[in-house]
Amino acid sequence: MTRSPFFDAAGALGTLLASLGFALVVIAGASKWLPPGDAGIDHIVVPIIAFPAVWITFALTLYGTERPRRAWAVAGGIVLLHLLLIALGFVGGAEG
Amino acid sequence: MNGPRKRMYLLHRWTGLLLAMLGTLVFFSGAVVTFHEEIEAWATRGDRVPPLAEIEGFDLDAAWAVASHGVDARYLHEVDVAKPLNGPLAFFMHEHVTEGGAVSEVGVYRLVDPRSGELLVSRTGSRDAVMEPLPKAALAQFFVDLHFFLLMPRTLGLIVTGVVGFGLTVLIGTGVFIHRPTWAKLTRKPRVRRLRSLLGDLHTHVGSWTLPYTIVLALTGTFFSLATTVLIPVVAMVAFGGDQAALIRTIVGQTEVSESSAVARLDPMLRDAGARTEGGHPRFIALAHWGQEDASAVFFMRTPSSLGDVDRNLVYDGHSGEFLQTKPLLGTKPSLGGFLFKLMGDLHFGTLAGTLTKVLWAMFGLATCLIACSGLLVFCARNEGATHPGIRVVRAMIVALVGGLPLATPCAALTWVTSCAVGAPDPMLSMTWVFLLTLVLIGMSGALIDLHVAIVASWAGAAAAFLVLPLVGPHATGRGVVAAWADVGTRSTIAVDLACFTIGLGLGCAAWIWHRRRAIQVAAAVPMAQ
Repeated sequence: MTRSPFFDAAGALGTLLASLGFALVVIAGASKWLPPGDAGIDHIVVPIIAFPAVWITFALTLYGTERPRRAWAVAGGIVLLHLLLIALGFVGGAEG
Repeated sequence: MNGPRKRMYLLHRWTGLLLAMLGTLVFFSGAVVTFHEEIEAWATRGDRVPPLAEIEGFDLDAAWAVASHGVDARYLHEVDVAKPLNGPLAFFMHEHVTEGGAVSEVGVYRLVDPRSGELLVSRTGSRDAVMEPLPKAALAQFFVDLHFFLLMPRTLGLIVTGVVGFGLTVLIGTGVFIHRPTWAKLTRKPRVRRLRSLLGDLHTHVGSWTLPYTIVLALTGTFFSLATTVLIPVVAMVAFGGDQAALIRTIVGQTEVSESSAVARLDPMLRDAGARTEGGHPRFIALAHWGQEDASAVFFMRTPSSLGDVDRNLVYDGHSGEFLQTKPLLGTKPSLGGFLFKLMGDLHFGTLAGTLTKVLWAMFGLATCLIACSGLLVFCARNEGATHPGIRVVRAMIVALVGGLPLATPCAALTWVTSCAVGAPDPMLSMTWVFLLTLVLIGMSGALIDLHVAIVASWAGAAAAFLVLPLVGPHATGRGVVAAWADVGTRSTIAVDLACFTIGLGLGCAAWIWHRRRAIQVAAAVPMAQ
């Protein structure tokens, strides 16, 4: 029996790459809102450690969802929020 | 199969096909690397440098004087001192060079024999360039490099293994979505009548039972590979204006020291650290800003224990030599980030409960290789009769993994023995070529000849190579087999010898049984034979 190897490779690769970009923005932005803790390092270390989990969560949710529009909208909202935090940090840094 | 499930199935299949080879190499070498200290002890038999505490009259200051003699003063402010389990003392005196926000370390690397105080090796250059292993340490280092970098240049290798780690996470996630492991499925007996069903059941069963291990290893592996190459630069760009050195300084943490121009002696600090850690030995000593205003010394001590070694990091004032604090791995105070980082290391390297978890991790690692092989065999079985040239490539991959990997491993080790015996300066290059060529040649045989014959022949060859290895291994010492065997001594050496004999016998038996029963003819009823 031969099965069709048809596979939406571009769609899958696009989703995996987009989720990589989303995860990078989220961990970078998270360093702006996570509390640093007593040692003053949690806001940097925790997002870096969480990166693989964030990446796979975005990837599988966006690729496997039955409601792609809603999933992409929620992911886009999260990413925009973190982009805003990053931009505010740069503006604040420039003013400072 | 409905829409999302079908999509996930196809993603699982294609990710598996693309990553089976590299993923299996990473997991297989990871299983071997779990015992890299034992392999190193086996490789350096009779020439083992004991722990510093066991060397009578050892003085760290005297060794430091030998190592730092004639070195440019700019390299003497940042010094890493390492004492590998079986090797000499290694000093890396360096400075941090920042280019475009990225930090690199350049300096002088020297090896000193702590027993005689003799300078063994002196090299100058970047960290990666100077830390080429000595020929005898190359055997263990080969498998470390295969696991960490897939034998590629450091940065590229880390990115590739990071992507492979993520791909494995995708495979696990999609695999759970497709197979939906339930207790009933986990406890169901594998169907042994048809090879295709058996392979499918093996794939699902082993995958499900090792799920917690594989997901932890894939996630932590992705983190360790991408942390320095991608993640730290990205976070540094946002939180530190691109200054990675500042980010690393913040994460590591700097304990406050007294103001003075005096320089503390190292040996009293080493003895104090040993006493405070109940006989612990230094794995690593970091001298920061040595001879400068805020000089400090951190002793990374390891106290052996049957339930897993205990690691503690002791900080000393670089001026007075006074003990300041026991420092967490990250930061100067206990933190969530530091705890998670330590947990990631313990989970990935299998150091949670000593030898027990190391053995378990190695077995799980090999079981994960079985998942990849059974997955590929299922794909072949399902596509029997297909004329697509890709099927031949998959067959080649199967033979390269199932037969080639067990053969390439002892062949690389035998190449190391030969290189050391003839005094070749760099065994790594020849080991790499032999390992890769064996994989390619055995893989090609899978595409050209009968799958069964190719695998059985590879296993027979691998069995012979593993059985020969303990006999010829002592040649690497350059002192002759009899002399090297006479002081075989350590438990690690005997354990590695026994492991080689056992694996050799196991592979020999497997080849004989598979050949006798002509298992592939069973598969002829199924779509396996060509």
